[in-house]
Amino acid sequence: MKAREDEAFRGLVAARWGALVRTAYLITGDKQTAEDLVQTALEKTVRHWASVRRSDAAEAYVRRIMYREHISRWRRLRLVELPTATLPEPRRAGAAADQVEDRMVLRDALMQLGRRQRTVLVLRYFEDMTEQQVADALGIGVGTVKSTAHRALAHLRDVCGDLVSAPGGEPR
Amino acid sequence: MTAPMEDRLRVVLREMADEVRPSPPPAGLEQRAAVAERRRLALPAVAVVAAFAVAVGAVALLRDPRREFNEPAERPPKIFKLSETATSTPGRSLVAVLASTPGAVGGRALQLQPALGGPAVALATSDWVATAYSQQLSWDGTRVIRQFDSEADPRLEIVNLEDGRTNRLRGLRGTCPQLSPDNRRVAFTDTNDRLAVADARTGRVLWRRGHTVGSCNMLGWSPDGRLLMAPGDPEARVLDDRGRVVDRLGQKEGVNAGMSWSPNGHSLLLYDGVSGRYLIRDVTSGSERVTQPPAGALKALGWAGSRIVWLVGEPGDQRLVTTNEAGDGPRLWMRIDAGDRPVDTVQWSRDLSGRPVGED
Repeated sequence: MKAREDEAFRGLVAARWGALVRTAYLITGDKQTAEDLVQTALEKTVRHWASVRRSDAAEAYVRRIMYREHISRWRRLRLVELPTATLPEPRRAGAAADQVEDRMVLRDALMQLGRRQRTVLVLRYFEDMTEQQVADALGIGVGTVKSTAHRALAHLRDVCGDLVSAPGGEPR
Repeated sequence: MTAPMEDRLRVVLREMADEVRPSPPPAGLEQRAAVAERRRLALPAVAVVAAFAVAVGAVALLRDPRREFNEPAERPPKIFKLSETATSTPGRSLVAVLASTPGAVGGRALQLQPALGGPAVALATSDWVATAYSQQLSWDGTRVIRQFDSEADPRLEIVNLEDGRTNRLRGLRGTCPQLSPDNRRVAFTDTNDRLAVADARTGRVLWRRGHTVGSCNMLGWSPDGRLLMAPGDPEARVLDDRGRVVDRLGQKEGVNAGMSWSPNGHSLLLYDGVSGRYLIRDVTSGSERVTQPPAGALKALGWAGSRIVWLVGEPGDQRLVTTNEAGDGPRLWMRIDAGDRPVDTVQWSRDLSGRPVGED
């Protein structure tokens, strides 16, 4: 890679590493796996740097590789648990505690989803991508995105059932 | 009013993303990519050799009588809530929790999480062991072995959780019993403070040793049932299945009976009472390295899969948190809802079926 291309690539890594890892964390559920996934995507990107030099196109390229690599990668969960980067906060009493535990149950249910289902939900509801954008990123049809999201949300509703309240709302 | 799932999901995803503290990006990605590309191009040349090596390795694994597994077979609950409901047939159980009653040591009900799901239940006592001092979940979660809370008459019995039947080990008196992983033997401290191993079905003593056992509930069978770790005075030891000493551990003890052994039997998690540190000891080489407790940890509880489990927090807010072997990367595993009762110990089944928790 030429020196100027090197610099552009390093600039992308420095500027966007954190954001990429956060998204990767949401789709993998594990910080170390997320960093490994982002690193793999970046290494694959740099091999094609000459054709993805524009920074906005480059990040989209990295993300596409990341999402597809995660969905296709064969890997076992080492231990099924709710990963957090820091020790979770202590239990709070009362309604606030119910909301915290509701969110824990929802997190757990999210981590139970299959790779594609979880990735679609993360792209739709964290990255705020349209169904078409998600389809392009994953290399699947829009219809598949819709049905995948529908099934995933239905599963979350089944598991989380009549959990109480929106954040800040009153418990039932 | 219940918010739509989409809104709740957005909040949870934002929270999860905010919790992550990414490590600094790795340096030299460009160089690593170049190396990876060279390796990719060389792949066909190594493929044949690799295929041969895999075939040889597979034959070797099939011959290995000690099955290597590193994953718990099933998922425990995220929140374990103590129950007032007692039963003698909870069925195979995943998790067992013992919480203190203020002012009492023995006589506590063992709380169990049934593998079939539903809320936790307390294990009912029996006429033979009306109040229990030591209670231990078997490796496969199908039995509990317990000791009557009496210094003068420490009777032992094994409860089958699936049908409620009890095996009263009538000829035996001893403390802190531990079932072997195959449920065929029981190790315990006899009434003369000697280490003993007996047949779990008949109660016939197979051997005794003059090894004075130290802390209760710290006898630990290795996953393959061939070794027994026993804390003691003046030193902890590892013994083989005939009671011969194979290793001496110094003034250390296990953390939670058989859970001191890593699931693949290669390592022991020990507490060094002299230095106050937790150590991981390689069983083969004897080398030891320190593992650091996470913030707020009260004690280590043992291994689950490839990670160390710690009891963290004060009564009213106690949690199980896992770390890697170095003590890094803390993750919440389970909350224990025990009111204000301090949790003494937690055990979980280590199903020897070796079925891993899979994805998709």
